[in-house]
Amino acid sequence: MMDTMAGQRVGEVMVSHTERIEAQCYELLSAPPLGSLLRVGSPPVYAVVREVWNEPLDPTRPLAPRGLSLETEEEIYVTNPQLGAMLTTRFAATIVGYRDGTLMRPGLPETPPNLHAFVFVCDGDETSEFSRELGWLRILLADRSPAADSALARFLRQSCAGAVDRREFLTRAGRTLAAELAGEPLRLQSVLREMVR
Amino acid sequence: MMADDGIAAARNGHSPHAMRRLGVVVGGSLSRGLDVRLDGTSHASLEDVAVGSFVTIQGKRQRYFAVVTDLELRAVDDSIRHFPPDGVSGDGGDGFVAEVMGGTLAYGQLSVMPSMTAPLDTGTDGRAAALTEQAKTIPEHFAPVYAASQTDIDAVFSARGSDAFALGSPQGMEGASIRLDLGTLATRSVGVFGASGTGKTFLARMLLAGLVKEGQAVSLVFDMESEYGWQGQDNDRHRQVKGLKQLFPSRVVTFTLDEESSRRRGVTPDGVVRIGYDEIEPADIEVLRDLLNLSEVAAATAWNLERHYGGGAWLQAFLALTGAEVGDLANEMGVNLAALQTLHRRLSAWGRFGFLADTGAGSGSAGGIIEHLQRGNHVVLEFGKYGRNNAAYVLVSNLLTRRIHDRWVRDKESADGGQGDEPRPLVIFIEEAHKFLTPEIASQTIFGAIARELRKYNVTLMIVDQRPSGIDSEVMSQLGTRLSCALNDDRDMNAVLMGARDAGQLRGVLARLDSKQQALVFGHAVPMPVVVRPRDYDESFYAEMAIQHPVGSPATVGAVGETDAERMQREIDELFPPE
Repeated sequence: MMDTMAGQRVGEVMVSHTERIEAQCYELLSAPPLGSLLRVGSPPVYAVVREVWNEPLDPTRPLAPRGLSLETEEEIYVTNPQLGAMLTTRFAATIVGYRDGTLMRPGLPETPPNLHAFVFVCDGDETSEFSRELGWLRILLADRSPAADSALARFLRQSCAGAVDRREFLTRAGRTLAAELAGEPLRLQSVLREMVR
Repeated sequence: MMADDGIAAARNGHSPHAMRRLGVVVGGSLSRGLDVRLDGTSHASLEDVAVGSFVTIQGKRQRYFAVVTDLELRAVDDSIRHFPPDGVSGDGGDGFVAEVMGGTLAYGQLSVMPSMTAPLDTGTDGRAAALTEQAKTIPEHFAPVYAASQTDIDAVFSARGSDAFALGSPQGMEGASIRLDLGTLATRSVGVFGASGTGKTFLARMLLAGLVKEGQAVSLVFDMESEYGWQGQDNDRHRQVKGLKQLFPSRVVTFTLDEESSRRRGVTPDGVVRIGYDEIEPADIEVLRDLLNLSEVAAATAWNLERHYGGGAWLQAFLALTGAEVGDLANEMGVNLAALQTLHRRLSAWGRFGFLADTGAGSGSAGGIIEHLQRGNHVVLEFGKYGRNNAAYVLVSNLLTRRIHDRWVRDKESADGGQGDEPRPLVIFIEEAHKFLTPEIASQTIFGAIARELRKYNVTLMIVDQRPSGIDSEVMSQLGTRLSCALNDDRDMNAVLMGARDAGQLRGVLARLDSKQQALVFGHAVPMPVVVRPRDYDESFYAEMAIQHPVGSPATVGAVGETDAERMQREIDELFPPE
C-alpha cells in the first residue's frame, strides 16, 4: 500500500494543532497506512500517521446495517452507490518536524499547517532523509497510546528500509528509544519487537 | 564528545586510535573510588575488563591512573530483573531486543580506584614518570576512561626507566611490563604471601635474583627447602630451575647445615654451617618454647642454668649431665625438678643436630657468614633435612640473625659516630615466617625487632609465608611492600591487607587472583597497587640476570640459547679446565 501511495496527495487538513493534524481522505478507504510519514502544506510540515478511522460524513446521521440479505460486503456498496458520498475516511497524524529552508528539522513548527493544506505521503527517499536524525522519537513517544507506539514502530521499520546499514539504523534507533523509555522496559520491548517484526 | 576526546588525547601525545575507550565517570568519591559506566556503543564489554586491570581517566587538567576493583551489572530500572528480554515470549529478531537493551537500560559499571595523577601536558616518555604523584583529586563527571596502554604503565611504574627490574606484566597486558626499583624495595621489609602452589617461591626467587643482580643490598637466605641456592623445582612443569648460585656464581655463597643432603643432590656447597653450643643463649630457648613443647617454667630454667654455669658454657655442661645429675642440679639451683628434666630431655635431642659443634669457628660459623655478607656476597643457607625440623630452622635462623643484627647495629652506630663505613643494606630472607613471628613470640625473636625498627640499621626482612594471619599484626603492618599471590583463607587475606590504604577495594582484587601466576603488589616499592603476572623464570630471565663480565674473564654465567649438551660441556670445562 505504501509503495502505491508514495509521493501521492491523499487528502486535506481539516483540524490543525501545533502537535497534530486531522485530515480527510479524498477517497473512502484510501488512507495512508499507520506509521507513514506525511508532508503537509507549504512550507512543509512532517507528520506521522498515528490513527485512521472511517465514519459517516454527517455525524448526525448514524449508519444502519444494510447487508442482511446480501452475500458479500462489496454488494452493499454496489447496491447503495450513495454510500460513497455519505461516508468518509479520516486520519490523525502527529507532527514530528518541518522544513526550514533546505533543512529538515525534527520538532514542532512555529504555526500548525493551514486548514485545507494538502497532505502528501512521503516517498522512501524523503522518509529516509527525514528519519536520519532521531530527534522526533521523543515527540512520538509522548503520545502514549498503543496506536501511537505501533505507528512509531512501523515508521522506524519504513525508515530503515532506505538506510544504508539497516541493522545499524535499527540498533541506533533502538538505543535512543531505550534511553527515552528507561523507566518502561516492557513498553520498550514491545516497540522493539514490533520494529523488527 | 568523541571528537573532544580525540583532541585531548592528541594534545597529550596519544593517538586517539591507540586508546581503547571504556566509558565515562558517573559518580563516586576519592575514598570510595569512582563509578565508571561502560559505553553502550563502543562495544566495551565487561568481559574485556578484568578486576585488577589498569585504566586511565582523562580529566580536564590531569590524567588519572586507576585500578579496576570491582565490576557490576547495573540496570536503569529494576523490572529488567523480572522481565529480561529473552525471557519474554517471542524476542522479535535474533536477539535484537537484548542487543539494544544491553548498554542502555542494562549496562556494565566498573569501580575504579584512582591512585596516581600526571599533568595532562607531559610527554609520554620517561619524563612523565617523575611527575606522577598520589591522587589527591578526582576527575569530574563524564571524564572519559580508557584502558591503560604500555606508555601509561611505563609512566607509572618505570621511575628509573627501562633498566629497572622487570617483575612481570600487568593484568591483561601481556606485552607491558611492571618494573620495580629493588633499591627502594630493600629499604623496607617485604612480605611475599600466597597459598601453597601459587608461585610465591618463584616470585621470591626472582626478587632475590634481582637483588643480587642490582647489588645494592646483600641478602641472607634461610633456605628451608633447599630451593634457592643451587637449583629449585618447577613442580608444574616438572623441571629444574636455576638457583641463585647457578645464576651468580661469583656473588652468591652457599652454606649447608646438612652436608649429606647436599652431596646426594650433587651440589657442592661453599661451606658447612657450624653453630657452637656456646653461641646458644637462653633467649633462643624461649623462642623455641612452643616448638619444643616446653612449659614457661621449663624454658625459664635456661636462664638459671646460664647463671649457674656461666654464659657460653651452660648448654654443653647441662647436656653432659646424666639423669641423676640433673636431679642433683635441680636441688642445688633450687629449681623445679620436673621442669629441669623436661628441658634436659628436649634439648638432648639436639645431639642429633650435626651442625652443632663445641664452638662455632671457621668459614661456616656465624662470624664467617657475617664476613661474607660484609664483603658483599649473598649467602644462601640450605637446611637439607633440618628444613623439616622446625626447631632447627628457628634456632639457626634466629641465632644467626641475632648475631648479624648485633654486628649491623654496632657498625651502623660506629658509622653514625663517624668511625667506619655504613653497613651494607642487608635483606634477611625467611620462609614460614609465622613460626617466628606469631603474636606470642614476635616480641622475643630478633625478626620481630628487625621488622619493628624498620630500616634504622640497614637490615630488613623479606618474609615468605602462606599463613600471614599467623604473623603478629604489628609486624605485618610494618611491611613496606607486600606481594600476595592467591590466598584461600579470609583471615589470611585480611592479614595481608592490614594497614594498607584502600584495603577495602583491594580485598576484591586479592580475592580474585588466579590460583597461579598472579600477584597483587602494593606498598612502598610501587606507586600504586598492581596485579602482576610474574614473568617466566626461564632462559630469558637467566639471560637478563647475566652479569656482563669484562672481556677475557671467564664466562661463568650461562650463555643464552645454549642447548643442554652445550651447557654440560661448558660446565665440565669450567670445572676441569682443558690442559
